[in-house]
Amino acid sequence: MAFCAYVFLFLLVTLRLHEFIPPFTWGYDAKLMLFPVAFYAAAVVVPFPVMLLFAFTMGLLWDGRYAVITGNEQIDLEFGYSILLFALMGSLMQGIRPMFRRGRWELPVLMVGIATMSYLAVEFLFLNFRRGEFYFPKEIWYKIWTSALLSVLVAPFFFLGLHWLAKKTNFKIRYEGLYRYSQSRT
Amino acid sequence: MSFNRFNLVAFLIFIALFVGVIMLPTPQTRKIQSTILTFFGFGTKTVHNVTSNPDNYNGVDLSAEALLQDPKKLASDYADLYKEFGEMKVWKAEAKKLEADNAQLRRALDFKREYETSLEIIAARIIERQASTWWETVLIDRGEKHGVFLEDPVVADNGALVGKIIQLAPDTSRVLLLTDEACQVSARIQGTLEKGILSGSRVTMSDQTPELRLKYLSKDATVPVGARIFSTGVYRKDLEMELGVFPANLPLGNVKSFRKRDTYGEVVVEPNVDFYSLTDVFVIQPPREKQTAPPAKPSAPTKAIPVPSPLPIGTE
Repeated sequence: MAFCAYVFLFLLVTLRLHEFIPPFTWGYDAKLMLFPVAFYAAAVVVPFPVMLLFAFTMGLLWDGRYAVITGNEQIDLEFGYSILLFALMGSLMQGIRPMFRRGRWELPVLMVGIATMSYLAVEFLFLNFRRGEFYFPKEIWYKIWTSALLSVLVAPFFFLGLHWLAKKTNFKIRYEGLYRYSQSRT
Repeated sequence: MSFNRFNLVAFLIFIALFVGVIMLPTPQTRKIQSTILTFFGFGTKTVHNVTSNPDNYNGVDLSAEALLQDPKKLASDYADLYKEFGEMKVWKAEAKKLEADNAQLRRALDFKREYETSLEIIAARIIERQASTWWETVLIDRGEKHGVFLEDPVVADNGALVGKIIQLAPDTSRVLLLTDEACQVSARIQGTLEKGILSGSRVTMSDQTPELRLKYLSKDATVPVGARIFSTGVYRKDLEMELGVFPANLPLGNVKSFRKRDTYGEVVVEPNVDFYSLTDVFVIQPPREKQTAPPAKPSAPTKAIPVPSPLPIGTE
């Protein structure tokens, strides 16, 4: 469990660093989604209950930092919506654990991009739904796509780091489904 | 991932906790945000000091090196500022006299409301900008400890509205900018009877000049291009108090164009603040705070900090 504790600390550090990353004006203000990328990478390597724990704590911290509450009523997204989004994206990432376990990184890296894109698109759609008047200009698409591409570019470094950490702490990335399957076969 | 019993229990606990957070009342969520901002705000000032030029004042470089590059211009600017400072002193004395006259006249008119004319002003520096993806916010280096309250209006050095405080920590606070769609201000157009709601755009790209929208005007309104737009404030005569977040008569922008929507008229507004070169702002506490201060606010008195005169070096 030392591995999970280190990953938790690692996520806190990336959450802190995320604030200092400026948006890229050349990419329609796209931002390197450092913290979500770290979370998605971590979601692949930790067991399902730990992923849920991370989704809850990190979603809470994320909303605590960035959710906008104006006046006595919340006119924007409900406080805590990120918990659900992180859990959904984390569950998506859990589905590719067997590949990661076998040392295949292509799909997990691609999935980080897809999860980042889905997260941003869903968040903006929520915002549209809450504020009324559907509005989705092409600049938003470019912004979301650029953010997703940037995520894909940095994701291998996160996986590499987590792999290294798992090795150092003797943590075995297990996939319960396969594990039970192999148990029943023997 | 298999859904064994342990995973199922974890999932149910997660759902219960998630529902608990979603159902939290707004004061509780504000408290959580304040705690997180306190915890995560630590070190932001240091990072800002290391990574930014402390001599930059709203886009003007006031460092010794930059100023000494042209000593003649520096001397000329200094003379101009000195002259302006003298004029300001005269204006200040005149304003004090007018304030006293105004108070006397109000008493003579038997105003029941004790109208406080001097505003508490807190100078602050922007230490972080646009941290979130969709919301236009900045972090300033003044917080609860310095007398800043939630919902306090924030203005630039020309008195134009910048936004309002939405998150509060002891040392820092977050400002929702006027360019965000969620920041809505009741506004009027000078020289007309037109009133509406001013807000920013849902999406503002930093390489574009931000535009504001003044909505819900009469469909057939005659609005002159260039007309100034001010906040209206919300005064309830029956309660004899200001209820709105923003005080009346704060400059917001100028009319750029008018267009008819299906049921109302809308004006595109050019803001009076250059949001992207803004480095220093002022948090103001409206007079209504004197009467309607909520109990949650700290009891420590705030000192009135004088607003420094604008420093348009080299400009008229």
